[in-house]
Amino acid sequence: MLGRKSASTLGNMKIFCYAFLTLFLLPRNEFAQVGAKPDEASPSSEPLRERMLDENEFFRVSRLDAPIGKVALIGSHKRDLIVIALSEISLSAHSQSVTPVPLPEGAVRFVSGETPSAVSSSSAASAQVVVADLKQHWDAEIRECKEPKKCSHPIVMGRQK
Amino acid sequence: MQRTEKMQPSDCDGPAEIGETTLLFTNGFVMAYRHSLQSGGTLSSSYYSSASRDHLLFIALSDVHASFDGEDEQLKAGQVYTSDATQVEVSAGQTEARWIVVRVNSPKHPN
Repeated sequence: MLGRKSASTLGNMKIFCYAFLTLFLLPRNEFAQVGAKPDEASPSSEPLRERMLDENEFFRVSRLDAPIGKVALIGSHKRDLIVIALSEISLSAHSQSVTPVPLPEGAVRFVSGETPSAVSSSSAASAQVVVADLKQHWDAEIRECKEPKKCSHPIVMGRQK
Repeated sequence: MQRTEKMQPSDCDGPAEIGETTLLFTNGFVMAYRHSLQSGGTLSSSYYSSASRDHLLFIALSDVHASFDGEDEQLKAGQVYTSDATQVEVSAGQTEARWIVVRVNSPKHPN
């Protein structure tokens, strides 16, 4: 009798646990995959997430979140790209075995369509980048603004150009 | 008794810098800029040209309030906005505003 009662109690507990998981935990888990905040650290088992943000005649803009330990290939359309780092990332030319270049948050790089590249995280958080595919190609070479050129200009109060 | 006054622009010896614009790279057709603006500041930029048109990709690195040809947008950090606006006004709130602008220039009359 006691054995039957225990089995019955265990069975009830199992049902209760399944109901609890279904009602409370699983929906949260699903939400975590669909609408997780970009700042939240992601486990390495989490898949890469690419989200198309906008597209027009000139750009195709997407956002890519690569969890720690994952490498995200970019530039598969053979178009020139502009990569904007929203977190600390490493950017490497995929076709060459070069050392990945660490980029701080806010860094912007032009990536030629002939050089498929990869993005990975270089910090304790996932790598978050905005990638703009340029729909037009220009033969003119992209030049990074460097010294001795004056690349930075102050914004001054009250001045109108 | 110590008296404090709110500093006005006229009290300064020189023009007060409230931010910085940095050209990152260009090939004459595509230009990327980084902007920063102190809290409370507003930057108005004109992208009007009689010969060409700029197509803008605006990436907020911090929360900013932006107006694209008078259309107000409250952008969160990491948010992206594309526009062909010729007048863009960005305001910093309680904290410094930082954003990136990528301009793609195309002629108005290709022929």
